[in-house]
Amino acid sequence: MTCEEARSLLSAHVDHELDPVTDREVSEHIAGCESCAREVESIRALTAALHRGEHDLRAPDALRNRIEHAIGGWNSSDRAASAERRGRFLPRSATIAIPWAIAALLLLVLMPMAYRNSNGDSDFMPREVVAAHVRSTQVDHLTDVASSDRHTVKPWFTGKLDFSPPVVDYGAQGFKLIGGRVDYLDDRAVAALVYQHGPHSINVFIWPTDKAEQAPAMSVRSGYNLDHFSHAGMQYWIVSDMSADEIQKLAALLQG
Amino acid sequence: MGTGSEPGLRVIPGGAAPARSPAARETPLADPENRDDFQRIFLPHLDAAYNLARWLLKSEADAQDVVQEAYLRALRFFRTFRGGDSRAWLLTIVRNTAYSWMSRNRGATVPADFEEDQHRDPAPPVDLELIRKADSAALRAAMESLPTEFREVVVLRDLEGLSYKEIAEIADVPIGTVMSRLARARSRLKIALQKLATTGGKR
Repeated sequence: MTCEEARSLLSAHVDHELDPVTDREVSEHIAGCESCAREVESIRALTAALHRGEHDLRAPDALRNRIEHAIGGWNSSDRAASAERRGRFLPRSATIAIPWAIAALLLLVLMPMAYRNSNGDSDFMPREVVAAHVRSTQVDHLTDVASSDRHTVKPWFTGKLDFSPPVVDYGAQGFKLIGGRVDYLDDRAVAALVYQHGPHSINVFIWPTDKAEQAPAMSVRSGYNLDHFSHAGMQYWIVSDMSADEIQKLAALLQG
Repeated sequence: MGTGSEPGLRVIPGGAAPARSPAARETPLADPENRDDFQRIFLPHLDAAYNLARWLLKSEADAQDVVQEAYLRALRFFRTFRGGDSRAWLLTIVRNTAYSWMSRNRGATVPADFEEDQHRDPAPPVDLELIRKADSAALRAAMESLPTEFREVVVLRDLEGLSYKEIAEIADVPIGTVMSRLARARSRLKIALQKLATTGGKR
């Protein structure tokens, strides 16, 4: 083994991550090469310094509490029941803060529900829908199945969802079907259909509802336009950065 | 129609979310119990999650936001967790959340499979004593001078003690890439320590 070949392997040699044969060859090289031996020494010194330098940071207690609350507050039910069990993970100071936080969270969650109509929507769903949309565009994960052919997209959902979402391409009307994926909203797996309109990506989230027909309701959140309606046993959330007019056009198409 | 597969079906593997399986929907989330399981399995990894986020983002406040977001994401995908290494599973989500946070807030791009020239960082003779005596401020400054992708492998290996295989899964790169990145990251760290020492070690 030449010095150059060995050089790139020294770090892995120190970590015992080489296969036995290569590791033996590297060891033999080091035994006869002063500069590589020095290099190994310096790598060992470095990893030891990193170990003792206390760079392994501890999460602040405040963060621990925030996460406990966020997890517990995922939805309002059963929070009280699990609060007690949660207590054992927490520092003593938090046991006073928690009942207050629970009370505040309950207020936050229940108040809007009491004031809204019976469909049970709070601000929660629009926020979730926008978050899902943003995530899908951000991480370049718009589609799991990419196809403009609804005969490809629709069967793809079979076995991934416990319902069969309606899949139609509206390319002729300016809304081209790009593909689909399974997303997770409202505590369940939902269908996400992706359409393209000019430069705009559109997510249409679909899942079953027992509500009767429900007229479209537009809203705006974080600069995104949303439209929510129910049709033929399915509820729809449309979200995109395109204009409200265009969203309404697509909503009308989806409602057949 | 209605069969599971069709010719011409093109499935793009998603890098973002953990893989879902059809069986996932058959295990409904028994709510409070599952949340307890989630806490029991993942809260012990909070320090590791924070440590990784803090080093990736170089900011305590940002790290806290990202870790919280990552935990909520993890909870959301909890039903796709099939046992196995829960720390690696969580750290994968923390890492992805951190990178999307950076691209959202700092305009940084998610690292592509960049492979630099292997010989670009020739190892100069390094003063062993200097490394041995490096104080934690110097080490920290050296760490923070590394590009994120290099810092990431050092954190996962030298601070968290993960195997190359685990790091490869978390960073979504081949093991060979982990190996070469780590080698070059360490080499750069040594150079940075040397530079810090010669410029008077202001930190």
